[in-house]
Amino acid sequence: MQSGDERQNREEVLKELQEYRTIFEISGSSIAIAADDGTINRVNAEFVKLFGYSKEEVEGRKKWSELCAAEDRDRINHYHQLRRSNPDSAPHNYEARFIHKNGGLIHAYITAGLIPKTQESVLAVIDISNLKKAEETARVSERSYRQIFNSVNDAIIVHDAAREIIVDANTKASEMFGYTLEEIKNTSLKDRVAGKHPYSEAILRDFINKAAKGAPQVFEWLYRHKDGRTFSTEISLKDAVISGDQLVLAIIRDITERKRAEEAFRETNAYLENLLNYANAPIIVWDPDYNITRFNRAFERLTGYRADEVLGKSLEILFPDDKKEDSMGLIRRTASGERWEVVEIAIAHVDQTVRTVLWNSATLFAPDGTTVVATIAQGQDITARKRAEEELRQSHEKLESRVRERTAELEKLNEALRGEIEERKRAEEIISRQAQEILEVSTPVIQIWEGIVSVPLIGTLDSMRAQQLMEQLLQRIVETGSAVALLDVTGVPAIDSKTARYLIETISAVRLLGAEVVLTGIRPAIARTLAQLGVDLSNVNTRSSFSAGLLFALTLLKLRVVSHD
Amino acid sequence: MIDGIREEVAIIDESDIILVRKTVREAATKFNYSLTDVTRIVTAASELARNIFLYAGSGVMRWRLLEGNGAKGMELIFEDRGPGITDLEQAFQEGYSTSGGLGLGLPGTQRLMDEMEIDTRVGVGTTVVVRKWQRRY
Amino acid sequence: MIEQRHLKGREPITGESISVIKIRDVLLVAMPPDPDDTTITILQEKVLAAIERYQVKGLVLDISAVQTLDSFFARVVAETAQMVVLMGAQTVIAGMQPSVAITATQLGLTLGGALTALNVDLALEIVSDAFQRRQRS
Ligand SMILES: Nc1ncnc2c1ncn2[C@@H]1O[C@H](COP(=O)(O)OP(=O)(O)OP(=O)(O)O)[C@@H](O)[C@H]1O
Ligand SMILES: [Mg+2]
Repeated sequence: MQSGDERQNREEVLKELQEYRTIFEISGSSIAIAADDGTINRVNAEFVKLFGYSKEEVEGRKKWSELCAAEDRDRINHYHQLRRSNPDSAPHNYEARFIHKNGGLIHAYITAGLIPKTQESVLAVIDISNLKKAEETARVSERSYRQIFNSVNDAIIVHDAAREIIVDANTKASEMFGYTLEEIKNTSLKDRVAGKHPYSEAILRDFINKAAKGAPQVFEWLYRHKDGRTFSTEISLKDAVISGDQLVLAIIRDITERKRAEEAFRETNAYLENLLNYANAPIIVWDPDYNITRFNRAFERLTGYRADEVLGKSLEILFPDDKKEDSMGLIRRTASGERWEVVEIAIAHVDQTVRTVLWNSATLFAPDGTTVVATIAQGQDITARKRAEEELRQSHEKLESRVRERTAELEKLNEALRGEIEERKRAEEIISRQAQEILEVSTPVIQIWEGIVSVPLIGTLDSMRAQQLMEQLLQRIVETGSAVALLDVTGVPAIDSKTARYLIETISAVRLLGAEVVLTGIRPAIARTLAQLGVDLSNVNTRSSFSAGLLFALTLLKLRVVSHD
Repeated sequence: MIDGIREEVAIIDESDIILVRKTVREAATKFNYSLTDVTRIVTAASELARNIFLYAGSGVMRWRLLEGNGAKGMELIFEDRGPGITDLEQAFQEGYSTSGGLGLGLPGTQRLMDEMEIDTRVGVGTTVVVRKWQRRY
Repeated sequence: MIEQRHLKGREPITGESISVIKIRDVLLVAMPPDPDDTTITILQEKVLAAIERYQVKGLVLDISAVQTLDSFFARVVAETAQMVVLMGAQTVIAGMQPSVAITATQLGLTLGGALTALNVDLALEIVSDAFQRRQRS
């Protein structure tokens, strides 16, 4: 009986051992059994696979801690000893790094325990290297995602459209709106919109909902900063699914500067437009096909056409029938880049009269520098000017002959009164006063515009007249409070060094008063003489024609020519 | 010595420069010079009077009327017993000054007036005579 | 008969009579018609002290009453303008009379870095940057 029991007992033990071995071998984990001193006594097939050593190379030969990576060795040894001295305080599970036979690193998750009634440890090793790698990748990509998110120049706000909350926002967004990231998450749509029509909460919600339904939205929007001011932006809304959530991404760009620039551009444009339209000189622009693209008010007055009647039409319609060919030929040459000095081209009025006009033109090129975009020409109607000059000259002559007559008369009187000194003195005074008056008439200083006086100089300037002119001009500038004086020398036939010096002196004196001189009508012959005399006009404002001078004077005054209709 | 002197002003201290200006202004205005000519004459007088005060210490200004050849004018005479001017040509150069001034007094006066004569002897003194003729039309 | 002119009972010249007024951030100084050298020098000191004290951005020198602008006066104005620029402000000479401007030009005067204006109103506009700045020399 007893021996039978014993046998049965042994068989059971053997069977159990057999079962245990099988489990040990076929278990999915790598398992090692280590002795008291850490020597590995047994390993299973998985262990061999994981560490790359054969059973023979390990069993009885290697210590548990030898397989461990150097950094973790002390910790492993410590656990091993602790498990024997104070089993409860040794960790049951831990992570540690091991070295594969070929040197590779193995991240492992260890489950350890003592085999009861022995000093041997069972160590189950699960390879978590891949898991570790995945974690690391995730961490890196999360970090670089944030970095990119925060370093873009546009504000990005991630909306949860359904719950109407901000899920995330980048640094630029909190800068742009003036909130911290936490604060901005707590703002509502209403806090962020400018509010005034059409920048209302409802309209922005509508845009967001459309984007959420898959229709990307791009539009300009006026937002409100935390401090209350508003700012212009351009928003692009797009739906996105991030970790299963239905979200709307808003990419917001601050366009305040651009808006301001646009506004400034519009203003200058309007200013130039006005200046062009209401300039006193006729101005016209045509395209490379010689069709009129611009026609200002002065041109309307010159021709009797209204701008809308001629825009888009060929330049030809402006010339008298018998001169169409010649004038067009002359103009075609401008398209080849030639610049007119000043040419005379006759213009026909709708009432069939013909006017003589002096033209200046300039060809406008595309940025490539060769393609002609348009030609702009500015005219000066000299029909009236010639007549006026003639009249002025005549009246000047008339005055001079009157002076001669009077002087002769007075001289006769003089003779008669010789000896009577008192009388003679009175007579002299009369002569002197009248001559003075005549001198003043011959250099008329006229106020032609609020802030602009003009002197047309006609004939030769002797030193007496130059002095007179200087005094009168300065006097009028002060009387009328004019900041600009136009000095037109078109009527001066020749200039000598003395006259030139007077001109320069006049200009300096005017500047001391706080006004500016614009010298106009310097004909090439005079310009040449001045250059030969060594007169430096580089500091003097000069314009070829009187009307160009006037236009320049207006810009000096920063005058705005505005419409009155 | 010189005939027809109407007034004379001693230049002893700085405030006499003002007195010279005042005297000359009154006279020139009375003789119907234009405002600009009055200003030219007074400014020239101011320059010459200051030169006396600065360089000779003291001196005198006299003025008289001129008449002849149908022309009328005014003459101002500035006389001092100062050190004299060693190099007249240099003194008339624009920008030349021994006192840190602009060096405009002498050349400027010449431009403002119609005529200018200067008689200077080192160690003896300087006499400057300037004239302005009435404008004839 | 020669008349001799002296300043009788000379009044002490103090420069106190010149008013230096501060309007917002501009210092406005009105020059008397015929200032003597002492007055001009005292004025320069007063102005520089006021500019330092009030930190103004402009000095407007109203010379509309001035009848004589000679090389001394011009030099002090030019110097003052330069110092004012160094102190970060701008000088505008306002209201020069035509006769004075002509004379000053012929004398050869320049006003250094000072700007010019027809009258005090325009000068104030220039200082407040409403007007384009133009450098005068
Ligand atoms: N009366 C005089 N006696 C002696 N030297 C003189 C006299 N007048 C002028 N000078 C000399 O001639 C120089 C030039 O005189 P000018 O008046 O042209 O210039 P300034 O007095 O130096 O400067 P500014 O007149 O422009 O203030 C003087 O610096 C001085 O040396
Ligand atoms: Mg001098």
